[in-house]
Amino acid sequence: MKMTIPQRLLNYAFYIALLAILLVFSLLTPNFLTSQNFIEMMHGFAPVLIMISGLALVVLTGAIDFSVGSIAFLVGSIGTYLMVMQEWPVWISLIIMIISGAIFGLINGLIVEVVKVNPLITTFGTMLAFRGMGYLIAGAKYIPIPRLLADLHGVKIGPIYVDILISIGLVIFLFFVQKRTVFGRHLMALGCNRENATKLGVKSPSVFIWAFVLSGLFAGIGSIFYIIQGGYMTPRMGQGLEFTGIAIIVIGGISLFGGEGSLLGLFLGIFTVYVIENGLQHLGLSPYVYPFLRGAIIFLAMYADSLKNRIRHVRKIQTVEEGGA
Amino acid sequence: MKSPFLSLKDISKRFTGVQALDHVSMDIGKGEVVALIGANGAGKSTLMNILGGIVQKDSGTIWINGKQVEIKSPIDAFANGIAFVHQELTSLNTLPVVDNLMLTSYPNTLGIIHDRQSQKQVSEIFTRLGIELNYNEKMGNLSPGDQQLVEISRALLQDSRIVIFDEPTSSLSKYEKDRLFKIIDGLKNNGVTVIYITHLLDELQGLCERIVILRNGQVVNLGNLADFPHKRIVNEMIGEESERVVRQNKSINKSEPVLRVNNLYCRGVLKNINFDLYQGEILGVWGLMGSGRTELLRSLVGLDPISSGELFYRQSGKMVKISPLELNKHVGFVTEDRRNEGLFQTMSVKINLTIASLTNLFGKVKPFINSRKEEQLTTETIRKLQIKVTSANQTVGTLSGGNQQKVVIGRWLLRDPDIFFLDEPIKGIDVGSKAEIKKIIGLLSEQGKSILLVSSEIDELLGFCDRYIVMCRGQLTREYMGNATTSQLMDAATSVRSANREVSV
Repeated sequence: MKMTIPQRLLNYAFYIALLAILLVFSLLTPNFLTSQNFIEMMHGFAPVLIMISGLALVVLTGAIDFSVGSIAFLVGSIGTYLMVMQEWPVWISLIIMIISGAIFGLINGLIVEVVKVNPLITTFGTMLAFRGMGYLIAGAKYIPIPRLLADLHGVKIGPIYVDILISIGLVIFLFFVQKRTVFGRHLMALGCNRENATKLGVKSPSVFIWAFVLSGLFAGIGSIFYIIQGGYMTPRMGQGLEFTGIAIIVIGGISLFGGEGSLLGLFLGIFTVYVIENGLQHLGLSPYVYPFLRGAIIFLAMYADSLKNRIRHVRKIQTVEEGGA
Repeated sequence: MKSPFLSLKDISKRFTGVQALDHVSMDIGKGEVVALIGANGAGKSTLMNILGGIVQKDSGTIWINGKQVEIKSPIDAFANGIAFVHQELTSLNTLPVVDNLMLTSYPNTLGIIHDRQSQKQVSEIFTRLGIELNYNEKMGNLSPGDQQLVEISRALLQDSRIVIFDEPTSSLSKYEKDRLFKIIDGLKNNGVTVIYITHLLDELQGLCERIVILRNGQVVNLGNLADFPHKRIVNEMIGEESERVVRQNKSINKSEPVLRVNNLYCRGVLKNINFDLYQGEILGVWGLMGSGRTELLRSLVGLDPISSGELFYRQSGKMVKISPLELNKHVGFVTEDRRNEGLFQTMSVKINLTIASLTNLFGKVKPFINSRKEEQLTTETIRKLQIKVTSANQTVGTLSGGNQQKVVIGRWLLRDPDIFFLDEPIKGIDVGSKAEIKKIIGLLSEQGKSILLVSSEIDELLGFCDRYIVMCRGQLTREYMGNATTSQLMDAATSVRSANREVSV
């Protein structure tokens, strides 16, 4: 298949843009292009990367999960409540955190597939509900976590933080799930065309439910790394993650229409978003600029996504005509 | 007859208000090709959907090889060796061919797929069927014919004993059709039972031995194909002597056209198109696939950009120059792809009928629609076009092809345009509806509407149009009057094709 020039450009658009951005920041600030800065940056986004990696699976099915940020918050609240207020052993609390994340995902999945409520509405609702439950359990407070856990925040292998390695490992694991398992392929099939996939015998409800379970599970795991890194449970944890997360996913080349993209794209997506913020910090720009820029990036990413679809559509018409003539 | 391999006994199914199947029974032998014939809405698809596990029957039993089976899902159907090649492709366009084939049968350990093994299986089945396709190609990049081959390959992947083809040839080229028939022959020789749903009666000869004719959810007749001449099948299908629509070619006032097309060019698609369309005329546009018929219609109403050329449209007695987008307002365009382009499948018949003429339905207070007016117009149109619906609120998606087509036409009737562009209005609908649609088209022309009619079914066009223009490679090559013959039209479409080639060499 020959690719047209605009297509090639679109395929590499983000790489080109990212390179340009990197170049600009490196030229303008002395400390941006240092391994230390990049390692700190990756350390900073490792929990977020984990939180949204499960969400990427849901997006691949063509659905959406707005509740990941709230699940992360609720799981963190439950964890600190058990560890700090009830003084349960840390390891039991951690296990409960992981399991509860999956359960909240399951609740989303069951509402979507059994009660048959649109995923967008469902997760909008649970986004509010889960956050509210979190406030009820732990209050809107900063709660320091036990030393045992907080001390883990700086653990490194060589120069690299362990949570960076774990986040990369988990994404690669999910990439493997996407590419090499029956579940992963069914996920892609549903995202491509649910009706056809069902006709072909894919058990779509169970695949959807599992996608939501994984989304909740990984939001919960990410939550653990988040509180370890900060040393605190914070009332603002996961706020706005639903949108940043989806922006990262789309920038990473996973189509919001479902059925297209790879989990490895998450690296590109999260890198792009955080490099820009990090560079702006180095430039010393007002932090109020970040939300604006984030919005702009989200818009550009969505625009590129729909543009890709349009170009594909046009090309299809052309091939049909060529075939017919 | 051979001993029955598949038996359907007293299958009944009701959809809201409609008895789709009424105690249908049939026996089919091993290695037999049976054609299931019926007008649209006769229940063919429902019956096969029950066998394929897509729809649940209300009552009755299914027996395979002497054992009663329950088919509650497509998976049950697979398990019983039933494969279904759907009329509408079930392609997953963003996935590679190999995943489209193996989706529910990946060789795997604990859910982890053995890719090499599944690729091997795919290439094996491709070799067996003589298909040359790259299994890594994205499904969406294949032609409809090739996509269908993938569907067939999937059906045969699991060693199916019964294969159902639901109107498989509707989107195939001649070459692809022949290739399909060869494959079906091969299946038969391997002892596979084939059920072939169609309403293209010409295909049956040499393909199947037996036919089953359904009408209104009941088996009206079955037997050896040899005992059923073409005419008898048609009669059984529609239940009465088929009405042949032959129009008296009336004299058309050719002093002044309604639409004049001058030197129309459309880059890469249309070259130097000139023609006139007169009032009350049915002008048939004929040409082979890819000759630019659809593109001509689309560019005339501004759906495709034109590079140069002029259009004139008669307004209050004068020919006025008009842009394609302007012309669009005076044209009722019935597209070829009524499912995707023409109708809102999930909405009611009423909404679909009135959507293009809502501004005529305003009540006393301007932007609000007078629902009584809407109701009245809808009922009137439904009656006039004899659209078969339970009520005006029935969802369009649940109608048969012929009735959907009537809704599309009805929509434009309400707009009352002077000109109709009809792109393949009778393609893919059953014999009975075809006659009805043609009657409606005839009626339109009698009312003074001008009609540009595109059809690839040459026999359907003949004796019906007042005049024909023939297209080839984006050019108008010849014009015939209403008494043209098949060979004349065919000649014009093909001989010019070779002449054209000489010029270009």
